[in-house]
Amino acid sequence: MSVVLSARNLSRIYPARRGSIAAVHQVSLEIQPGEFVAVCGRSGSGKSTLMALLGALALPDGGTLHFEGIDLLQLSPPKLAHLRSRRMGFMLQTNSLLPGLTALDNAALPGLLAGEPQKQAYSRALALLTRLGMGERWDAFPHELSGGQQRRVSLARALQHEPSLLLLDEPTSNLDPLAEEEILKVLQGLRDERKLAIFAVTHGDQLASLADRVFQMSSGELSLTAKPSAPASPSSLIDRRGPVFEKPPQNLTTQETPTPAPVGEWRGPASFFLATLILGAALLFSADRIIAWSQGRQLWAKQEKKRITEEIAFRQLRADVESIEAMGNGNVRANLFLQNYDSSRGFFVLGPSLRIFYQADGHWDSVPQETPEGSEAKIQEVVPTKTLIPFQFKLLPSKYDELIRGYFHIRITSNMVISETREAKGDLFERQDDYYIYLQDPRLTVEEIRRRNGWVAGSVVPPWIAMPAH
Amino acid sequence: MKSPWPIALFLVALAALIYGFTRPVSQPPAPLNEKISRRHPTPLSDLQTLNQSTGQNISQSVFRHLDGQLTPWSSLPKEKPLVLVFFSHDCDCSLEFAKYFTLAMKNSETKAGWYFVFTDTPAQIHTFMNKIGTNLPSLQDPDSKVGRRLGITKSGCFILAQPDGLVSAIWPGTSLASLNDLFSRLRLPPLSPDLPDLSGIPQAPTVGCPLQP
Repeated sequence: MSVVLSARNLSRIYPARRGSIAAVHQVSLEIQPGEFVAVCGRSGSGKSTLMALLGALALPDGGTLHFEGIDLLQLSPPKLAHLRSRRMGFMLQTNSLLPGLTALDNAALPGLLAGEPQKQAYSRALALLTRLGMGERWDAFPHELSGGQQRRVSLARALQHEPSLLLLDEPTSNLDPLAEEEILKVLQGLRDERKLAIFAVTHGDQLASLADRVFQMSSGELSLTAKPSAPASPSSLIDRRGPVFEKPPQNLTTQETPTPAPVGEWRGPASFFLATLILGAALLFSADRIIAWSQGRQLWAKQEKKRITEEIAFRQLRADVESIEAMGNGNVRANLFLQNYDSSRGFFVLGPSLRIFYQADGHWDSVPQETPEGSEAKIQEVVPTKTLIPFQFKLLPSKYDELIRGYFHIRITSNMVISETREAKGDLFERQDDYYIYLQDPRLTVEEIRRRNGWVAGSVVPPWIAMPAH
Repeated sequence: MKSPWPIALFLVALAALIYGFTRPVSQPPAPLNEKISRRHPTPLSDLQTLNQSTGQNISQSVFRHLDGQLTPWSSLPKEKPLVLVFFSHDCDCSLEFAKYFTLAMKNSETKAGWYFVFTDTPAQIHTFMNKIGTNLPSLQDPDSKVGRRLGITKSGCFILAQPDGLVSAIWPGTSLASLNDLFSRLRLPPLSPDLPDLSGIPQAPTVGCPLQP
C-alpha cells in the first residue's frame, strides 16, 4: 500500500524573546490511505502547527515532507497551491466561510474554483450537505447558522473536491453530542468508502477513539499513545430510561429511608427549573394577553365610536336643498334640510355653515349670503322629521354659464360638524357637501327659455332643478 | 418539595383559555341603512329628452286592463284630458308619491281623467295597490312601449294628454311645482303645500326606480 503522506524529522521553530521555541520538534509520521490518525494534546502543544506543516500551509525549518510521492518542499508556491486545492481538504479551527455566500455556494466553492462544471459541483455539494444533516439549510447564509452548523458546512467544503487527505483541526468543536456523532459517522463512512486518509487534531476523546492511531503531542514532540475508550454515545444516553435507584439504598447515615420516585414524577433541579420556566412563561403570557386584550378593547371602543360617528355623518344624516324660491329682483329664498334617518340614535350638528357660488366663465363666483335672523350656525339636534335651515341670497349676474339655457348653475357648499352629544365632546366628524342646482333666470319668460332650448310649446319648464348631492 | 407541575399545567390551561377569550375578532361591517330613500333629482338629460317628446300623439297606443283585456287609447274616456302617471310596483318612490297623486287626482277629477301606468304584471299591480291601501285606476303598459316611445324610463314621471292623443306636457319627475304646473294647465287653483297629504313632497322634480321594460 502506497503512503499518502510521509513526514521525516519535521521541525518548526519560532523565535522568542527568551530564546527560540520548538513548536514542532523532529516529528516523523506516515499516513496510509484510509487511515485515521488523531493527535491529542493540550492547547499550545503544537498540534495546529504540525497540521499546518503536514498540509504544506507552513514551511518547516527542517525535515522532509512527501505527499503521494511528491516532495512538497521542492514545489513552487503555485504548484503547491494547485496540489493542495485538488488533493487535500482542510478544515481549520476558524470556519472561514464566505459571509456573502449561501451554505451551498460555500460548499461548492472548491469545485468551482478548480474549474469543475457548476452542475456537478453544486450537485456534489448538496449531497455532502445532506449527508452532514444540512440539506434543509442549503440556502442559509453563514450568519444564519449556528457554530455547529457552520462547522458542518466547512467540512462539506473540505470534502467537495474529493481529496485523498483530509486535515482537520478540532472538527467537532462547537458541536452538540448528537451532531458530533453524525459527523464522526460521516468521516468513518468516507474513510471506508473512499480510503480517505484523515489527520485530525482534537481535544475530544470521542473523535480520538475512532482513530486507527492516536498520538499525544507535548512540547512539540509526538508520541504514540493508547486509544481512549469510546464514551457513551449521546443517543444511547438519551435513550436511557429507568428509575434513579435500582433498589432502595442501604446503610445510609440518615435514619429516614428515601422512597424512590416513580419514573416521570417530579424530581431533581432540572425538572424544577423546567416547571418554573413553564410556570413563569404561562404567567407572562397570561399577563401579556390580558393587557393586550384590555388595550385592544379600549382601542376597539375608540374606533367603534369613531365609526359610529362616521356612519351617522354619512348614512344617518341626510341633508339637501329642500326648496328654492325666487322672490323677485334677484332675491332668492332657500331652505336646506337636515334629517335623521334613524330615530333610535340621536345626534347633533354644529352648523351648517353655507357658502353660495354661481358659475361664470367656467369659474365659481361667490354670492353674498344673507342669513335670516336667528338662523346662525348653532348646535342643533337632528331629528327624523326634516329640520329646515333657511338662507337667502341675491343673484342677478350680467353674465353666467348656461349649462341649460336660461338657468343659473349654482353651487351651495355646506359644512357641518357632527357629534353624538350636544356638548360636541369626544369624536367629532366634519362633513362637507356640495349641492348643485339650476335656477331659472327670473329675467326670462318661460317662452324665452323654451325657445332658447329648442323645446316645443307647452313643454315643462321647472323653476329649478336639483342635482344629486356630491 | 411539592411538585409545581399541576400549577404549571393549570396556568398553561388558563393561558389557553385567556387566549381563546381575548383573541381579536374582526368586526363585520355595519349593514347599509335600508331606510335611505332611493329617489333622485331628475337628471337634466331626462328634462331635455322629455321636452323633445312633448307634442307627440299616442292615440295609436294600446294598454291592458288588469283583467288582461287589451285597451287601445280609443277605448279610454274622451270627455276630458288624461293624466298618465308612470309607476313601478317595487319602487319605494312610487309608494311614497302615490298619496300626492291621489290627492291631486281627487282635486282635479272634474278637469282630467287619471290612470296609473305600470309595466308590471297584474298581480304585482294588485300588490302595489294593497300596499298603498287604495285602488287607483291602473293600466298595464306591456314592455313599456308607451313609456319608451315618450322617453320615460323612471317612475314618478307623468304626462298630460289631450283626448285626441296629443301629449301636451311631460313632467320629468314629481314635485309640488310639477303638480301645480299641471293644475295650472287644467285651470285649477294650486295645491296648498300645507295640505297634510302633501307633507314631504319633493320641491324639485324627483324620480324613482327605472321602469322594467
